[in-house]
Amino acid sequence: MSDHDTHDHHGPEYLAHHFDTPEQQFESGKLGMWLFLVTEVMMFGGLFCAYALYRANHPDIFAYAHGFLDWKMGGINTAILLASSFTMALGVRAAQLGQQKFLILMLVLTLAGGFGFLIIKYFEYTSKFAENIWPGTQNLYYPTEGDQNTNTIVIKGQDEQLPITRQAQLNAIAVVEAKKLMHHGYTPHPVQASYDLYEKRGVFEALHDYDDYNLKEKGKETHYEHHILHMFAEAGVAKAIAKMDGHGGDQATDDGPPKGEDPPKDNAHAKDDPGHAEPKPKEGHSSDGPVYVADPAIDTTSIAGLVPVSGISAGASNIKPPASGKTGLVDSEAHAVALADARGGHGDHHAAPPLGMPDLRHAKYYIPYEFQPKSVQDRIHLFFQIYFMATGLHALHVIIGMGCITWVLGKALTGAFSPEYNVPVDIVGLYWHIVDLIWIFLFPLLYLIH
Amino acid sequence: MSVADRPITTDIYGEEIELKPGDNYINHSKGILSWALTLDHKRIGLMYMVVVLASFFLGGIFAIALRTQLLFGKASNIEDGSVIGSAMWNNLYNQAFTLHGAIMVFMFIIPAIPAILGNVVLPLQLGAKDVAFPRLNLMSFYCWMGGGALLGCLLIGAIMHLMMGGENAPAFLSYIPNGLDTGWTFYTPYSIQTNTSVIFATMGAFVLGFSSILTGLNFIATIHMLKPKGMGWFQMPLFLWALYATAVIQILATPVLAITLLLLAAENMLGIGIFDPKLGGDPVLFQHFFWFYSHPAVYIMILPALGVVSEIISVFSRKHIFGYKFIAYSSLAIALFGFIVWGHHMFTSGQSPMINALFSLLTMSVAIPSAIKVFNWLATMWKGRIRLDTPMLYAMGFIWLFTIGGLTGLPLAALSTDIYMHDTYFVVAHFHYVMVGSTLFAFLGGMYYWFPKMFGRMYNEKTGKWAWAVTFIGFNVTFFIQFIAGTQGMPRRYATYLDQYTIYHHISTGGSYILTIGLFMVLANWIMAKRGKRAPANPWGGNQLEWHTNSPPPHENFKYDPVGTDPYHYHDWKYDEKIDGYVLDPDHDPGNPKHKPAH
Ligand code: HEM
Ligand SMILES: [Cu+2]
Repeated sequence: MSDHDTHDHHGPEYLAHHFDTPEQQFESGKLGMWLFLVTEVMMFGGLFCAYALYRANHPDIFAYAHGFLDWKMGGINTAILLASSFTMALGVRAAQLGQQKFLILMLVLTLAGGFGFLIIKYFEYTSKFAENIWPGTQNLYYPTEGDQNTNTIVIKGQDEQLPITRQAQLNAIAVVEAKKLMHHGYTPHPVQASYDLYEKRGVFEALHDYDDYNLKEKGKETHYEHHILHMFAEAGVAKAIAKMDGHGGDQATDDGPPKGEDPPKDNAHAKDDPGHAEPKPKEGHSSDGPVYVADPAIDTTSIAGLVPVSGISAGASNIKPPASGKTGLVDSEAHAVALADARGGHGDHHAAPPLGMPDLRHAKYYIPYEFQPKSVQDRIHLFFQIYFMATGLHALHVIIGMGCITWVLGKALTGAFSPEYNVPVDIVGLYWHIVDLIWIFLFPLLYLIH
Repeated sequence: MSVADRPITTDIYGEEIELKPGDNYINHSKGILSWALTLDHKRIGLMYMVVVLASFFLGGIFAIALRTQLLFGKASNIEDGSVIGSAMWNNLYNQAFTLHGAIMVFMFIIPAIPAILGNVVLPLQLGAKDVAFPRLNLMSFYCWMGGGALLGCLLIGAIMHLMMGGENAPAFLSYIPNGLDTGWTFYTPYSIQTNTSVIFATMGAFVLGFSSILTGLNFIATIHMLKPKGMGWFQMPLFLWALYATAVIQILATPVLAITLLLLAAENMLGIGIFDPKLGGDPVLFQHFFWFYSHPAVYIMILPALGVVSEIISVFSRKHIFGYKFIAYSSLAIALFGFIVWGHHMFTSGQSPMINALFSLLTMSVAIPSAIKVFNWLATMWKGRIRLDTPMLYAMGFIWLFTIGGLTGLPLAALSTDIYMHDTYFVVAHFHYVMVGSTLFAFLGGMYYWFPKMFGRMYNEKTGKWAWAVTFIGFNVTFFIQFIAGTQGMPRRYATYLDQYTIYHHISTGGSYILTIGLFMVLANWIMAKRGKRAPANPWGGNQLEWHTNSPPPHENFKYDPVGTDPYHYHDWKYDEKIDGYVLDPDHDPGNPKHKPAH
């Protein structure tokens, strides 16, 4: 181009014709990059907004669905990106000090970090795909009509493919997820436990071989009652039962597992179970826990007798634990509605509960997929959609950042940078840091939900 | 050829200079590549001018198509089997108003003033040789071209479907984009259900958005870094303040549009459901996202216009601008307020009453900085020696139309009235008064104002004034009546209407034809100016730095490094009848190299 030929260059080679001094040029470059970073923040800000909205509206969904993500892989990737940000920063410093070789080394290491991140991302995505968790319509939780969709799962160690209906797979996952969640301090809703697990015997049988999900009971004779009790024990509901037994009708709170006390007799099996070292439910949430009272009409020693106040005892709802063998979506939907009522109105987290009902608005309990109203079931996939959009867009930025680093590396190899001229390294460094920073937000928001 | 064509012009001191090949940016180098790959901000500005005006023409064709359909669309014209009111008729109308809106908004009015006038004038007003990032500037132009090409494909596809579609459509037709009928707002869930090419359109707008972002980024960096000696923030011409405030919005708001459009495209491609109520998503979230960008975007459209008008009003009143700091700060205030009022587009979308009330209040507060500007312009004109040249006519027209547009925004911002007027022709009239009446008029005024600088020729003043009169009348006839139609209940976006609205539509369509004639007169005037009188360096007597160099400026803008002075101090410029322009006494030019050590 002839653009430059008419001007006398009164500066070094890299000084563009429209700048007076190199400082002016470098400052402009940095300002430009900062402005660009603002646009990046605003763009991801939109995604974070969508995230915040859906999470605020459906905390249970997010708590539930995030359990599918592998926080270990995410954590390793966080570490990798942090390290690569560090090497990038060292590279910028090396460029400023004119340490050419060290600069090249740092750029290569940063690039390697980017590759490492993408490789792990690849395995993470493919393992999600293997669990039928896809972006878009192929997602396991994608709203469907009826129970027609059949997925296959591959049993580890065998070549056999096990057909499983989507619904069955969902139920199975729900149970396992319930357990995972309890480790995070969530409490399974007692009513759910009281009949969900009984009724879903069929699902459990399918699950026997489904060791992807690591059911500890595998290979043993499975006692479903035992299983439930175990869940209770872990979450401390048993203690609540004990209290209720003691104080008849008094309100009791779910307070964490009994420590030091003798476990109540219902809990005995749980203690025996070698498969479960008791994880400590999180402290601090217990006072928010759901409040249960015993229904005098029902034998409180049996789990089925434990119902939330909004249910049978207050007579405010016609929901009863179904007679054996009969449960369906209609029941469960109605049930979930009742739960929502107990929380203070359907879907409205702010209204006070009806008179005489306990205030469960801040109850941190967890209702498995099966027993959510359809409106909630249909939204679970949204978590994964947001997950894929956010991490996918971020991965794209990693790739772009790696492209920029490669460009700078190319220049560094020709010895282009010096203590006087190193602003490209600086600018690319800034970009790489923002890519890192975005991940620092994405990781806890997606992988570490409590 | 007349005397005017002697290759002689005058410099800022009124001395004759002979024009030689290569001494200005237009003839600096030859060949198509010297334009296509240029890094010169002025050339990039001119390239933008060509393509943006072409878009305006395209968008205009759709506008005329719409108005013409509405000439015939009254209910009693609809009979069994008639074309009027048929599915085809309605579909045509839906596509036409969508493409009209999308082209006018994304391809014309957003880039018009910043990308054309801003590109040419901004570095000149800063006394700089170029924008901070010339390469990025060119890239931004090609982003625009890419986005334009995507929307262009959409358009060609729509025409192909129109001509070949139907019973025995060829098979390949199903692979061809099918136009767009969602409205420029892309509201979900319709934009998920329609079988038109939403993905194409969103990607087009996405890429155009990139262009807008890069331009804004470039302008901010340029204004920060390339101010000349003697120019602090408050010695900057107000056009620069306006472009700065615009750029802030471009940087902060456009990325939100980008993610919105990406999500919408993913919605259409993958069915992610974030905005789809059937899949548990929230369509109102889409509206929030969209208006979080698009309300600030209306200030991307109007702020540069306000800047242009501030320049013209002061220069043609031969008076220092009144309330400089108020105008400067009100630009920033509008930019920032613009971010917290988006909910006024969603009063009927089921927001909570509390939020509605809040947005209503905030919206009205935008009227304050707008009014500050209007009062300052009026105060500037007060007791000025007003020159009624074409740019000034447009600027004064602007004040009228912007006032009407702004004031009619207030009943829309008031909840009780908006519930009634939302989605009626009242809204259509309101935003055309601010977008066409204000921004387009300011753009035309700015084009006339800087025309001599850009091309080194004078347009024909008489034709210019006539064209102004025709556009002004045409515009008001077209759109004023729509306020009335709207209050009578005529809804927007319908291809047909009850007979009682016939008179409004007929008047409006008539006005649109007058407006079209006026715009063609403007275009003809510009094209004819190819043979116009050679422009002096400073035909209007402005003291902004762009008038401190030749017309057209040399490739490097200035022969010597200019020094910033008060841009609104005109006393040193004396009118010279001989050249029909203003000349500067060399002793009063702080940038005059004779008073400086050679460099
Ligand atoms: C005093 C300043 C303004 C106020 C108070 C105001 C208020 C409003 C309100 C309340 C609406 C929503 C009406 C409805 O949909 O029911 C609206 C729509 C609109 N305004 Fe303004 N406005 C102002 C200035 C502007 C400016 C400067 C522009 C553009 C240059 C603009 C462009 C638009 C557009 C394009 C729409 C309609 C969008 C659509 O639905 O397609 N407004 N305005
Ligand atoms: Cu608005």
